[in-house]
Amino acid sequence: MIPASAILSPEVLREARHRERRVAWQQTRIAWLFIAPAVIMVTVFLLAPVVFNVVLSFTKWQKFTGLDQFAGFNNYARLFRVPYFSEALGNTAFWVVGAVIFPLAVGLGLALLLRNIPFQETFKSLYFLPRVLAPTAVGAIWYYVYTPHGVLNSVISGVTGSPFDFGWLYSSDTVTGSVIVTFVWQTLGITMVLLLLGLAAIPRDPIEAARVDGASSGQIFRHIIWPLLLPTVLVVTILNVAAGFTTFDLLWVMAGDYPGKRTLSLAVYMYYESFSNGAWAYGSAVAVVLGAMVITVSALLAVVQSRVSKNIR
Amino acid sequence: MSLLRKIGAVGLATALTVGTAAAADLALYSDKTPWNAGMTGLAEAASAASGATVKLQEITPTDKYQAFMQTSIAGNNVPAFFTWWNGQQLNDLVATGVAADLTPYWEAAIANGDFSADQQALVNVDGKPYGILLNVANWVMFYNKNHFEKAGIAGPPTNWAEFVEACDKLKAAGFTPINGPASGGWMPFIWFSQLVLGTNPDSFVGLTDGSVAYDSPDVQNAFKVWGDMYAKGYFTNPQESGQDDQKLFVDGTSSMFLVGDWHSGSFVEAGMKAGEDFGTFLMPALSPDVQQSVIVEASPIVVSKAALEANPDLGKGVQAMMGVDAANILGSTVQVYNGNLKAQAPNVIIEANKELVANAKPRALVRWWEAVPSQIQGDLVAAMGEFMFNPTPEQATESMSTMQSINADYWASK
Repeated sequence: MIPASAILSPEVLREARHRERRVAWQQTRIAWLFIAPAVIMVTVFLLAPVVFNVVLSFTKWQKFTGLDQFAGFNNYARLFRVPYFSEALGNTAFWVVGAVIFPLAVGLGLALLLRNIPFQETFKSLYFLPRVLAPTAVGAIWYYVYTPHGVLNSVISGVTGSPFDFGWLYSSDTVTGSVIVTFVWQTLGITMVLLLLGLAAIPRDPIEAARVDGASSGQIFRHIIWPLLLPTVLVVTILNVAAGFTTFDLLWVMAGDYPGKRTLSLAVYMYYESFSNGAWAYGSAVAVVLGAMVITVSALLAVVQSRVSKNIR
Repeated sequence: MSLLRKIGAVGLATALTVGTAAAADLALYSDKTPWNAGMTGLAEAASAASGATVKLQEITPTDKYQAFMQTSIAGNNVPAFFTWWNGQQLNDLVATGVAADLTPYWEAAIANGDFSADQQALVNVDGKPYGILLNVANWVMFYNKNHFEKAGIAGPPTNWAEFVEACDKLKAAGFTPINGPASGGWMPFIWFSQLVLGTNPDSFVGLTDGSVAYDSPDVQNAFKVWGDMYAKGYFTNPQESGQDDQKLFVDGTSSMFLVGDWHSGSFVEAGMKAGEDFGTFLMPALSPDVQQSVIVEASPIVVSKAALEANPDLGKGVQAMMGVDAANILGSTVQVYNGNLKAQAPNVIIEANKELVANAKPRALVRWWEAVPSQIQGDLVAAMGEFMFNPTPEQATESMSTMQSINADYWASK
């Protein structure tokens, strides 16, 4: 039997602390071993390119040369000198608003409609179907909807009885709106499913109680469903804001022939300047600004979402 | 040996084998998909002559190809052979120091009677040649012979008045006179160039060296004529062509198509018979006082200086690519003519165009796309495209203003 004085002696305590530290270090090493592949992947394929992109934006790289020449903030200053950046920024803002409001409004309407009806799963699958298609495939399909002799104009011609061959994807007034309609068509399903999950998580008791107290459907929605659904709505908003800021594939595939395509969105402008014009450093500066915008807006929305969730709890 | 070590050894051996194999292969990069058969023939000819293995690598579309080349060259990883463009585009490339000076090979080819000094000038930068000719094309007006006959047009127009008359007759016969695609992001410059050089060839040249403004009187005249032609319904709607530039010509919707004669092979592939279904004529100037001009397009294959220095036998590959056999391979497989004087013309149209040019002796001009500084070519052609999609006087003014603003900015920075 060990005497109590030996248990509490400084040597024993020191040894115990050593052992604890050894075990903790071993656990840390094992933990690092497990997360190392992910850390390496994220570093090599995400963080390093981002850092490289930021460095590039301070060089003079255009076409073949300038990669080793420092440009200071010239590329950022140029953003405000040429008209295209502000045009692309305006169109991106239009995109972000459209990509948030329309899928949310239509998705919420459908979610409320489908909530308690028979064959709900069938309808959900049907609305979700476009989501499984690649955006380039969706763009290629919808391109033929909008061509001068496409589906849309044929329908309009049939209804009005007179030939109609408007180029929806070739007019600055309609090109962005037309592609947003396609975006809504593709993202509607996932938005609706997320909102249905949010609706399913709302407890029935307060709704039943309100109904017993004589509240109308509108009042129940405004005062009970909407506040409890708000965290889900904000998650959907964050996803669609990020998608709206960075949408490239649909625009490039559908509006590839439109001569003013460079200003359709910041993502398209970034690609156009880098890959079509060879202005690699300037394109990198556009990418940095675009990335900063997405991070800022998403972070703000995440803070709002967190506060709303806390208030509900 | 543990399992882990065995796996490591096998992996290392595989990597070394693959690495050695990859190092032995040299690439011939190209963005010209329709010419793949001919390009493969050139790669095989270069391989057989040099002892190296040259393989065709294709990257499309053109903007992606250019981006690949720019990043490869900036990263000092230059392919052994690659297709490029002449004019300013070649000047920019040569300035990087990666392109091999091909003077000895051109001297031999000229002495052998394969090429002329004038042809060498198409790929010259500061008097030295930096490319093997892959394609030498005259820009001519292709016309549908059946449409001309049905419209009662006796023969190809020889002056602007006859050209306008032919357009009116074709329109009356139910055809859209001219195929005007905006495909590939570059085609809008075709009619802009033609109408400016038809107004004044010196102004056309001045646009490319910064001495003439894009809103000068000659350019204004070109836009006015272009707008009038749209108003009269001479052009097809560029929206209907999409990315298929020849669709509305080969399907019989339109009767004429102004493009390089390298396109003749594509028309034949689409079912038209060269010389029987379609012929060509040189576009007249807008006024009898103006000298007739023809655009000459030349596509070079550039050779990496480093690759040639590392493997001098590649020079034999360069010679093979400039030889008559290689030219005939290009002609027979993809109906492309590289200018070799001993080679057979790939088809009757290209042969006829050579005669047309020889007889008319027009002023030969480098194509706008190659002549204009590459840094601003994309923005300028986009402004021309905006006019094609909205051919109004207001848009013409806006396009000219945009182009001149881009042009002035560029030359002010020089």
